[in-house]
Amino acid sequence: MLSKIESDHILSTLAHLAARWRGLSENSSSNHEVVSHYNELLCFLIHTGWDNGLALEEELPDELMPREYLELSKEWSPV
Amino acid sequence: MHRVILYGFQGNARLAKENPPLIAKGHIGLSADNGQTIYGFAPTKPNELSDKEFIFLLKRKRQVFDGQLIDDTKLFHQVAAGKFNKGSRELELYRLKQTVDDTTFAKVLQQIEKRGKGSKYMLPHENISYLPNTYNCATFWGQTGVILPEKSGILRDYIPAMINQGAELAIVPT
Repeated sequence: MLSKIESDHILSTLAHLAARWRGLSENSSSNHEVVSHYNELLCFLIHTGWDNGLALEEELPDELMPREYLELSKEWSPV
Repeated sequence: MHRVILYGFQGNARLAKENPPLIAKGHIGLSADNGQTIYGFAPTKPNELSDKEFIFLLKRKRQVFDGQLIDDTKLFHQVAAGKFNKGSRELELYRLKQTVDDTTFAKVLQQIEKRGKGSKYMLPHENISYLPNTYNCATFWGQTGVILPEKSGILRDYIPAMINQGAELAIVPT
């Protein structure tokens, strides 16, 4: 399990990657690279045991989110 | 001199089911009357879109919507009161007081008076050199001269910046 400082740092990076992706044009060659980095980082976070929620602005559209996150979202229920 | 108060909380999609979308997004508001009324800048949902379609569009590339200032006092009070918390997952509302000069305060009141009309809304973005008059809830008040705790408007950075600059946890936003 990561410390709060470590997970906060990753969450901030995810937020910036999502903001970067939103600003790229549809045909930018950087789209794939940003999505790839985003997915890799979010999967790492999930594999550490993190199961909290992202904020809306920190997410990419569903079709670009990693399967692990979408499955986690489905499992989310009131605790 | 006058005082304004910035209020803010980080969103959490896990707490958003059956709750207002702002719980998923997080939100920043400003009060010019010592916390009695808190206004937040938000996108205006086009009539032809459902809530779900609107959220779907917000997350896509370069989506800009008309913006509006809304009296979000009730929402901020509910967050402060823990209405949306579930178990150990809690939303924390912070408030940051700021002293502003006559000119800035007049511009704040002017924006409240016209409910932000004329400003555009977009989620935080990078790689776009300049979008005139386009903000999110966190950057909106910068146009009035209010000093923003953080410039990007990304709440994951903005809320910690508020805390670093002396924001206090608002149990009841007064």
